[in-house]
Amino acid sequence: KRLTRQLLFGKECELLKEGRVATAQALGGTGALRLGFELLRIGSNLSNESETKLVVYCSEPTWPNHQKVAHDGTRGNVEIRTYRYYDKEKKCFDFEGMLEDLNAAPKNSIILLHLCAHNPTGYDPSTEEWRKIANSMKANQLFPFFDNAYQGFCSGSLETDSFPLHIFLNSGFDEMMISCSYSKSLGLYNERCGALHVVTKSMSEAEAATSTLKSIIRPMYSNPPSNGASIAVALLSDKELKRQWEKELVQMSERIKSMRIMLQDSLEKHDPKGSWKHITAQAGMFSYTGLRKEHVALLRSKFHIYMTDSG
Amino acid sequence: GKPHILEVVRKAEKKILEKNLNHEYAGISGLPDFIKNSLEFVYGNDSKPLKSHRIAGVQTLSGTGACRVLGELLANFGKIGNNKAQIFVPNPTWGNHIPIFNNAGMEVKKYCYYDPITCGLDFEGMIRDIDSAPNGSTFLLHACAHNPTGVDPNFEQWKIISNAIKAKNHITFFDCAYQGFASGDSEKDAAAIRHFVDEGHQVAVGQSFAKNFGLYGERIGALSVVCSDPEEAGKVESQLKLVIRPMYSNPPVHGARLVNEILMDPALREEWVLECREMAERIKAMRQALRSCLEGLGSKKSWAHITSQIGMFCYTGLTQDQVLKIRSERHIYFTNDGRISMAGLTSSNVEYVGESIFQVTG
Repeated sequence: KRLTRQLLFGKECELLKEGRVATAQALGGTGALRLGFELLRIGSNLSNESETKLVVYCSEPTWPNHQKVAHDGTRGNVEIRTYRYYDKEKKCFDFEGMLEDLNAAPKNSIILLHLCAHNPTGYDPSTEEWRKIANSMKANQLFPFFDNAYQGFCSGSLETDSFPLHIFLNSGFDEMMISCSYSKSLGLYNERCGALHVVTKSMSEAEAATSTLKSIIRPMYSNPPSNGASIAVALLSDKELKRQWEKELVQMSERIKSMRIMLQDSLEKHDPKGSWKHITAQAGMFSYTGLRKEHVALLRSKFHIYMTDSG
Repeated sequence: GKPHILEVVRKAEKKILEKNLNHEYAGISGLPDFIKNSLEFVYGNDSKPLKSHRIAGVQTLSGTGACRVLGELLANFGKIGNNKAQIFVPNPTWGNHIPIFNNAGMEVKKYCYYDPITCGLDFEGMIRDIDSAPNGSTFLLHACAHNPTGVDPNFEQWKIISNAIKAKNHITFFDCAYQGFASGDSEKDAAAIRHFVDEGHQVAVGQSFAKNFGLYGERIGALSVVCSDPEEAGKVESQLKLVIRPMYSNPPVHGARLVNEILMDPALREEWVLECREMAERIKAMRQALRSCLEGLGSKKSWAHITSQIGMFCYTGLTQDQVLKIRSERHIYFTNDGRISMAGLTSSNVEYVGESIFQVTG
């Protein structure tokens, strides 16, 4: 838990020294998100009897499981709304739309944000855009819940990929949640290695959050699987292994970047009039190619290339 | 404590490392080979419903995970109007059962089980509660080595319980956490479950491999539901996946690979049988030693229950006052209900424990 906190926030982060981060080892990123929503359910006193609902905003589109986790974690006491994210017409990030929707969100809404390598579009806000998002959310008293599934895997740098978090911390947010997955960055997919970090206002609140998390975990699976975490700890606590890992992160992310370049080059060669810049403007594992359903079907039947209907 | 690592597990781990397997996701329901082998382990190789492919099975996070996933499924489908689905658990039961099913969205009720006078089974009370529960209720039964009391029905009693449950059309969920570890014989420990299946009950079974394979930290278990036909089994599996995906997407593989390796390799399996039997025999020996010690000291009380109870735990019959006295004076730690962990007894401490119990009970 200590090592993953350091990995996310940086060793020197004041928050860690103040003991204001509660951490729970979780079952991958999904497990961390689930713990987060269960904690929010308890913290907001949600129940079928009270009829109050948690308002949660997900990007449109987002990883499909986000909405299901939010639903089950809050036992259905949730209203899921979306904030605009992908402009289908212009095939780009709809920053203005996102900001408008966040500005209209009710106070205390939970906003699910992708820390980097947005899944599924590949579009991430720029530094300036992140600052504006943070300011908007602070002004409207919205609660940030970051989904961090790709730290290090997106740009190749662990620090670079976590910068939006620091923008938020520097914008005066004293509470937020971050779900972390080590499936992709450490390649530990089937070991279910992840963590939920809860930033609280004080050390005693962090202790209370830890205690509540335990009461959520024990009736769900008692305690987390040890194998993946043991591997992660062995790696993170050994200078040489960690260095090697950082090198491998660069290799993996560079390979993906070079694939993007090659794909875009090939597309531009065959379709010089077309606009394919978004392939390299996007980052991470996925790309919203801009292809329509009909194109996708044709690729499948004629060329045996498989992609989701969203392109 | 420092749980013992089974030698056969070390061997299995080496074999797996040599295979150089990757870390690709297992799939929502888990490793298919593991599921197949663990179902055969509990239902028996010649199980009719297993052979007819009408048992829905998923890998779970040990026994806790099996209970929670089933609980969420029952909560979704077992509602009656605005009322929550109910589950009946024995009184007493493993402490975590209650928050598991509550958190899954169910209401937990208790049925009579333990008789503190005899330190044995309140059989009449149990049958009475089975009879008086609303038709079609869900009953949680401990397959063997009841936790925390160590009190199990004998086979004749299991037959009567089966008939009583059938008469009321109840659903049975067997929590099976000690197969092989209770009597030392994994076929015998599954006898109650197999009898119910033979009698036509469409049971649900939660399996844990934490104790019998010593794989506590790996979180490996399974949940299965006996259905009417393969089509229904497919539907049930689909619903189970809908519970699992928003909880943790897919299960951790390491433990599944270990259990599978041991179950499917005849040499490893044979070794496991011997090691598990050894563990169970050691505990039986401790039970005998503790009872003999107390009887040898001239205790007037009956200590027969120590050897008639089975598994890791023993409900000694000590009162809370006696428990506190033994804690402060002799530094032996019982839970307030008089329960001790038999696994904690060794040949070097059993005399001390016996003397201490004798001191406070006379």
